[in-house]
Amino acid sequence: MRALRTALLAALALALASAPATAGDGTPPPGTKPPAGRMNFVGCPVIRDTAEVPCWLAEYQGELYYIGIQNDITATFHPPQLKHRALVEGMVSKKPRICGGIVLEPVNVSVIPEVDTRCNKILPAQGYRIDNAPRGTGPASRGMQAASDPNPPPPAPPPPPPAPPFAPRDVAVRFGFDGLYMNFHNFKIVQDTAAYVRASGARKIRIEGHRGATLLSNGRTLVETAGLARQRADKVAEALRGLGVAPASLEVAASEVIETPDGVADFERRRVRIVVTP
Amino acid sequence: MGLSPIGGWWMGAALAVALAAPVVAASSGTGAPDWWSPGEGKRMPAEASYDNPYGKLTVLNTTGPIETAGHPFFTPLGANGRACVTCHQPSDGMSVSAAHIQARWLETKGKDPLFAAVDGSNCPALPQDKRASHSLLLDHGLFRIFVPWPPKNADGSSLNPDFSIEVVRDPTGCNTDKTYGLKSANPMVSVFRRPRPAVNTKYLTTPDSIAGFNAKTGMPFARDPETGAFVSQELMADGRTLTLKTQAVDAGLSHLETAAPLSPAQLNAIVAFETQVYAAQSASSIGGAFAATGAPPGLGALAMAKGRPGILGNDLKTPVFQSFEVWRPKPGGPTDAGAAFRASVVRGADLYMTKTFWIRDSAHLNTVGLGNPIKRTCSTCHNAQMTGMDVAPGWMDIGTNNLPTADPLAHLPLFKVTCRKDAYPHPFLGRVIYTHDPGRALTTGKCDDVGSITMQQFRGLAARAPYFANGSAKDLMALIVYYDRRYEMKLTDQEKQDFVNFMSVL
Ligand code: HEC
Ligand code: HEC
Repeated sequence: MRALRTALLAALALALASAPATAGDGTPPPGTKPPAGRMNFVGCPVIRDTAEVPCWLAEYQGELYYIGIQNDITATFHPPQLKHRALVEGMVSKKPRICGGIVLEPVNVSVIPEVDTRCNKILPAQGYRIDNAPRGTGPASRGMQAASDPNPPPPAPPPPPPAPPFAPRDVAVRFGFDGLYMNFHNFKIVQDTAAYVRASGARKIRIEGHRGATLLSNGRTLVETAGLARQRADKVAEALRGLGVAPASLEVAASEVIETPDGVADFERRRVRIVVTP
Repeated sequence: MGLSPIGGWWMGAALAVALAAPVVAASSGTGAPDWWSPGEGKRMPAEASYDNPYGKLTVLNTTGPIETAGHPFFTPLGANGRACVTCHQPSDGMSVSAAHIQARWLETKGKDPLFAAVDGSNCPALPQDKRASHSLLLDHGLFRIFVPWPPKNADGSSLNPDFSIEVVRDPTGCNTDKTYGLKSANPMVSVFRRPRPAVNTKYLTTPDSIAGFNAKTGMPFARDPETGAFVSQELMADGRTLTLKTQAVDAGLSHLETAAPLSPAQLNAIVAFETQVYAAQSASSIGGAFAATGAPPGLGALAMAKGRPGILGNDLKTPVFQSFEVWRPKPGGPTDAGAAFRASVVRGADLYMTKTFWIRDSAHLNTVGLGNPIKRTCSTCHNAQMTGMDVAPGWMDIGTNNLPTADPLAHLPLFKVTCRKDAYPHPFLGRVIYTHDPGRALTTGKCDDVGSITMQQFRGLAARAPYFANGSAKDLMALIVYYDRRYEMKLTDQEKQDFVNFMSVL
């Protein structure tokens, strides 16, 4: 339904394209396209069964684009999901093809929440391989003391708490398109912010939720589901409370204004802004 | 204590399990000789071993012998004559096997408090003197778990679920019953689950060390309502209780039918007992006793007592069940049945750590930033050293409860879950889901949790068939056959047997 709604909004955006753009509803002026070199599209992700690790591609208008490889939760690239379409927002790189796909780098990939069983393709290796992956498909090679060690090493010391002077801090937690899940790196931002609040004794933390829109290469606009700005702000506030930040210090707001997408930095606008004033 | 010699008729029993795969794994032959009845007042020794179809299991009390007279874990505290020990039997790895449940039915003509109407029958509304009214417990080792619907938030405030739930099939009659059903004055959902082992609990209660990040929710861990400390969120199939204490209160009120919550003194005594008792398989009927010099260091109850919780074992330096190298066959080494069995265990351990397959369409594994599918191993999900649980909160939907992946389970209720249009759907099943047990979603009300079950520890598996929360795998072979089908692993018969032998020694 979300996806459907998104599609409807996209259609609406198209219909409106001839009318003058109204500020704040995510509609760019008619005929606007992302700048050259950008590839923004919604397509099926495809995984290829390469050695040492599988690689991820996305299919759009009969072409394959390389977006990244399988890795761990702490990696910066989070692969998409078969049985879902993906929103791919990337730069076409000059690198030779990887895994048979045109390389997009940097690239931002979102999983469209609604199930789409048409996206379900695993390609054979066909001679492609990925070398020097940080981790293969099997167990990691990371070293650690055995549990039976009678003298376990002391746990790594926690990072030192933030030190004064405490200036105001303004950070952004980003989300995938139509998403509400905070991945490891975004959670870390919230966690660091909570530590900063504790160390600085800040009494005022403003949380501002936003939803965004993306300008696709075909000139259409995808707008995120209404209400998401609020849900994101509430989610970040809940996380901060869960990390020990006093509820009374939180000021939670949500903006329904959708900044006009430019096809370049649209993924940065799907965010929650946290402003800490010590 | 059945201290029978290794081998002999045992081997026959184990072979029968491997070959004939009876409905429920054969028990230790006649009845339940080591059954612990509530209020017996026996002294529980510091260390005791019990026979099971694959060998022996050892239970270790690290604080020394336990005087069980008056001890709240062993004493009936409520109306139905049950104690915690009724369903958490030392001989069964602190769970209870279906074989021993059947034996108790025969021995007591159905009068054991185990069969209490509240949850030891298919529904309290049924005539309790009939075997058929207890068929889920007798044939599948399942107790009725009844939870109020809709659920509440942890702080008691009301929660608006993402979905509505309807009863599609109700073989026990309980979900449509006028007193106990979903449309009764106290609406509740009844699902049927296996008891989880109340043992080795330091591994169950230690929160993941990646400082507070619960990858399953993208949020901080929940906190202990009493101390405010982060909790592991690894208890119970649906994670509905946060600590051993709140779990015991819940168990008292439901399973024991106590009139009031257990007292602080009773809770302290229960938790103190649970945090010092360890159990693991200690001998194989074919492969011999593990305590013999040179046994793999991760086996046995003492290893459980000495091990450290919270170690990620998804790597070759700290493998999940530690090293099996001492059992790896060497040129010129013995070639008897014991050596062959140990070699098979080593192969099974290798497969567990390194055999890759496409893990796909599994909510809370393929949705946490790893991608769907991911080509990895059993130890990707079952990654915590010593237990094979997940160092993160271990609820995932591997398809054991949801259609179309679940085994045919005509004896279980079937629910239709319909997700609200403005909620996130189940990531791989969408907005209409048919399930035998909504699992974690009964606690959170979230569509993407429907069918997710918090994984259980692997220790003492040999002593407590059947497996999976819904008892759908009648023995260890059936469990592997499920995985082989679910993830298209294409295992050979030898690989399946190696997996089974490996799991049987844990
Ligand atoms: C009638 C049988 C029965 C009785 C009696 C019983 N339990 Fe349980 N126990 C279960 C079942 C079934 C589960 C799993 C429930 C679930 O997953 O939803 C369980 C789960 C547990 C767990 C969770 C272990 C884990 O890995 O999550 C603990 C701890 C436990 N019980 C302790 C107790 C205590 C303490 C008592 C006595 C106050 C008790 N039980 C009485 C059946 C019983
Ligand atoms: C996608 C994650 C995942 C993978 C991969 C996985 N498991 Fe599981 N496993 C689970 C979950 C979740 C449960 C609990 C399911 C239930 O009870 O319905 C479980 C339960 C188990 C249990 C406990 C059964 C019990 O009743 O105590 C065993 C044993 C087990 N798995 C073995 C394996 C083996 C062997 C493999 C590899 C062939 C494997 N698992 C692969 C997630 C996984």
